Amino acid sequence: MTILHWQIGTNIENSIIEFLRDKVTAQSLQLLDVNGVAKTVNVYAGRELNNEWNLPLIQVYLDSKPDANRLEIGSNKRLRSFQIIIDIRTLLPGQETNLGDWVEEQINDGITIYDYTPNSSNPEAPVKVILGHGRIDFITSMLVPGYDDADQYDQNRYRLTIKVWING
Amino acid sequence: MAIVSIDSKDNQPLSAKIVAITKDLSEKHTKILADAHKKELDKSIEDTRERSLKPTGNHLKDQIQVEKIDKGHGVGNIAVLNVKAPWWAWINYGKAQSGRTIPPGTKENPRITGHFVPKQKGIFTKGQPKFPMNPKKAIKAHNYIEKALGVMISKVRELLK
Repeated sequence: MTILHWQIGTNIENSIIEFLRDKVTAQSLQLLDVNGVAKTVNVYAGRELNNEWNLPLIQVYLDSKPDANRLEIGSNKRLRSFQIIIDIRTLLPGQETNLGDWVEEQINDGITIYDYTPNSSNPEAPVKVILGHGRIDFITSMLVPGYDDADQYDQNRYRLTIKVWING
Repeated sequence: MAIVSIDSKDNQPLSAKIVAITKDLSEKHTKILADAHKKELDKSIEDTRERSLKPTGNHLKDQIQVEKIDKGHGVGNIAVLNVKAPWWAWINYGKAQSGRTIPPGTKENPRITGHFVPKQKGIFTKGQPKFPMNPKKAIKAHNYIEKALGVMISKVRELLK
């Protein structure tokens, strides 16, 4: 029996999440709430919004794999792209755009993509080896239109769509 | 040194002729791109469809059309979509334009009763038999706009190589 571990899509997703979490920690990145209290920016994985997530947050998930071009004729090596959605949700209006700019700046030079394997002795810290460098293309970068009676997670929302390119 | 003089047949300045030809070509290119983009949008809507196509009423795909705009052609007029298929944003972003993420149900509005057609993966349809329905899950973001853009940007880059 073989248990299928994380494949390339999940590896890329998690590499971005880990990259952003490291940047948030390194810069002690916080945003103010309506009372002027500083709140740490959280980074979460997943397409579906979880009501237990804390704002402000950066939500990251793999959406699709639009490109799988052959690198050369007769080879099965491909240049693949992985389209990632980054939804940014904040407590106050204007913060979502600023956080969107911050994310763009952080990932602009690309990110290191890791291959993760489970670590039974410490499941929270999977073993990782470098798989390569993921180049970033920005596809969309815009505010999601908001409305007064929107859910708190959707009142101040910014969406980035990026393509991560990696050979393999 | 030889100087070549080119005159247009109708005595219009050559620069005006070139601008007119370029503008026409540019408009034709945007039309080709817009038509291709429309096809990609249709495809990504179909690819992410969770329920069967409703038998009557407006469909999102039909409301997204190629239109002539000031400097070429555009795809999907938001003013039209907001009237004829206002769920375009809900399906794409997982959030309705009213701000809600979970569709309304019978508890909220007693007139919302009906049944699913077909029973499996069908569309909720008002009328007999009238069963109550109270959705609990938020609509997931389908990202059909981003999916189509992701493919189109690659296609355009290939063309421009």
